Amino acid sequence: MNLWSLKNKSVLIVDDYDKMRMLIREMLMPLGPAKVVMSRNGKDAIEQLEKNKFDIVLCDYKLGSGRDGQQVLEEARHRNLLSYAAIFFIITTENTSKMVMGAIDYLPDDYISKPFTQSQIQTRLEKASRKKAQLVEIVQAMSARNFSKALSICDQKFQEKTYGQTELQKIKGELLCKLGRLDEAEKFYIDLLAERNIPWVRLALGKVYFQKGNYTEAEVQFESLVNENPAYVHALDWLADTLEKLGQSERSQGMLERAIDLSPKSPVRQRKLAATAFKNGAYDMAEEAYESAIKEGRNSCFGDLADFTGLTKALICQDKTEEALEKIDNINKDYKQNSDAQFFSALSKSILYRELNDLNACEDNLEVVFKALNKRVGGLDVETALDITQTCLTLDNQALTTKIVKQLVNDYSENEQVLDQVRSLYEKAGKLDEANEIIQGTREEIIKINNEGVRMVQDGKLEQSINFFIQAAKGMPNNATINFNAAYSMVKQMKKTGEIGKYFSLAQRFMDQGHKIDPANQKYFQLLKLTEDINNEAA
Amino acid sequence: MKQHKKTVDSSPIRSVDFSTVLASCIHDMKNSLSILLNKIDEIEAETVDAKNKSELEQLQYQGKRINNHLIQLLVLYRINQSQYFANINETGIRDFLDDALEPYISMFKHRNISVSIQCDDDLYWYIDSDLIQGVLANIMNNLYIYAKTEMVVIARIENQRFILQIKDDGQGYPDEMFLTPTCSTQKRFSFKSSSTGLGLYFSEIAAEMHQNNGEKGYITTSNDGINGGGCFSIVLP
Repeated sequence: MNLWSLKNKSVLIVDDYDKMRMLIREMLMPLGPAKVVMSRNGKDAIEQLEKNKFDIVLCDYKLGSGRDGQQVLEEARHRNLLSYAAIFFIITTENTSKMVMGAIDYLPDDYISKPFTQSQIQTRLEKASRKKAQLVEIVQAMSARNFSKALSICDQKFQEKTYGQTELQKIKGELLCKLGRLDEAEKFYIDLLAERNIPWVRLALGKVYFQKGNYTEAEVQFESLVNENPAYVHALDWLADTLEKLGQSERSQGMLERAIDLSPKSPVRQRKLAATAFKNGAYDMAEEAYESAIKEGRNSCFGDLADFTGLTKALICQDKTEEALEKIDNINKDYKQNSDAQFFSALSKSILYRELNDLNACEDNLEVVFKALNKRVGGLDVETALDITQTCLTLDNQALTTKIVKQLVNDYSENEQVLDQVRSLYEKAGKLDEANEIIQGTREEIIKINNEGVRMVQDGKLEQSINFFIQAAKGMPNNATINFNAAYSMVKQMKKTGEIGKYFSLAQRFMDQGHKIDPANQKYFQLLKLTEDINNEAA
Repeated sequence: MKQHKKTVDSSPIRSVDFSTVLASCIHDMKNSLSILLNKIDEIEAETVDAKNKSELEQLQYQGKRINNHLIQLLVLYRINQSQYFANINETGIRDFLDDALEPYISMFKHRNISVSIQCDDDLYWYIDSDLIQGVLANIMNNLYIYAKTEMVVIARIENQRFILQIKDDGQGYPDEMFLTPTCSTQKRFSFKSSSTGLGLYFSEIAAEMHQNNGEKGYITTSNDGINGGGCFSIVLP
């Protein structure tokens, strides 16, 4: 009878209870899996996922003190440790509704609750792989980044099958958004809601409004979701983001507090609450949330040492400077392996001594910051760059100030919000004119660089323009125009030569980066269309 | 803005959130129950002696009852604390029924009760599968005692509502347990007379958690089953 089996499949079982692990393994053995690996906690599970490729993961939700099953799933998906074809089950002991409310991206393929029998788990696994198989063409088109094609397959499947369409509906809506066809996505979701009030549809509709910049309407959708289901964490997250955009920082903080009460283990959410609370002057709450972000981030891919800087600032605002110094000393102690530890401890100290008006100690630490900065890979986040700028300004160190600000302005010359923050720092130092000069000068330089590259494209010197823009993007990775132009040069070249292998994924990386910086920029969608055309011609 | 309260405990014993204790306790109990039930399965599979086999089935049955009661208690507790929110998703009913009834099929087979499912393969509806599974488990546990030779599970859509019925050929419900959509809640469930009070109470709450466009789900009981046996229905908008 058992045509379906686990032949050639490798399975990972994660449970903190050894008897349970053995029991599950015994259940699977008759199905003939190629390999079964067992893990007792989230940390070990992630290590296994880093080392091996698994087709099936069965992970208990409760895993003792470290990560829980949901966090293992999130990290695995976030870090691409799982192929799309892989099946991830979360094993639960109680009702799943609290967990099911997760982000669509991070939903497991199924939940299975204890106790279960061998035939139950077999049926579930079989069902999940059948489901995956049905969507395989769509997924292939999606991973080849041909969203238009994926959408047309999706529409075709709607015609073939008029029931059980939830999965297709989710994908279709997502594809419309990915293609920038937001009006169509909006209508699609509104039509679905007219038939039945389905929470995921309303969440998706709210996201469309958010993406459109229609925050008032987004608020209406998210608000109604959290009223109907106060435990819907992701609706709370989105509502908090929306309120932030609407300038209602205090309400935003309230929503984040509620989300944290429900789901405290996310360092990202704790960090967001900390930053919002700090902005609102709720320094005690900011302190607490940064502490939690540090604690939860310790074993997570979402950890960030910049939380220590935030914590330092929250402590300074409460005059707890001695405590701040103690916390900073912990960075070097607790993060010996982390190459960023020195950088962040020096940065935090420079801020602390700046506020204590001990300018000598401040300067010593700033020196360490700049030394570490030269060795650091990857760019600086805005907050960190602004912190350094402020310290440089306080110390009145012209050379270092210019160095850091030029880099920041260079990278964010199109981002008025960041530029305003730079201006306000300079204004406090009585040097607003200087800031405007730097910003103006940098902008002109960038325009010149950009024009030079564009001229190369126009002259048909495509290889040259590609190299030129790649170099430029290295210097200013957060400049959307430069990134889009790098991608555009490559697209042009692919069209000219008909050879796509060399530049296809690289072009995508640049356009994705541009899209991330400036999601509303239509250039991305034009480029998307062009790459899809290239893809179709090649096929 | 929310103020941070630091309450000072006057008593030496810290008060803990009862729902956390309950949840973690049930988590633990279900782990043990899992092992217990699977061990019984194993032993039963190897047992040839008919008398032993039937005794093991009794153990299995009781284990499943405990499991179901644990779930019901937890869900009712959460609903009472306003912590439970229905998680309603489009569900393939055929697959759902196969899955939910699977652990009971062999149990019924041993008692020579036949179980049949009447449900189209392409029947889909919006349900909270955890809740409805609890409802089914409760009925199954009762019919294990009350059904004589057969029972049938019928699922269909009628007037834009989903109807799930379980009919059996037992002696039927006693008069005091007849439920219609309109009878008042107060007199509906007495927990004094029998344990089924909890099951029906849970089922009704589970049905009411299903809402669409202002309409609520409900349950009914009658003796329109097979040869005057019981008929349990749950109707969901």
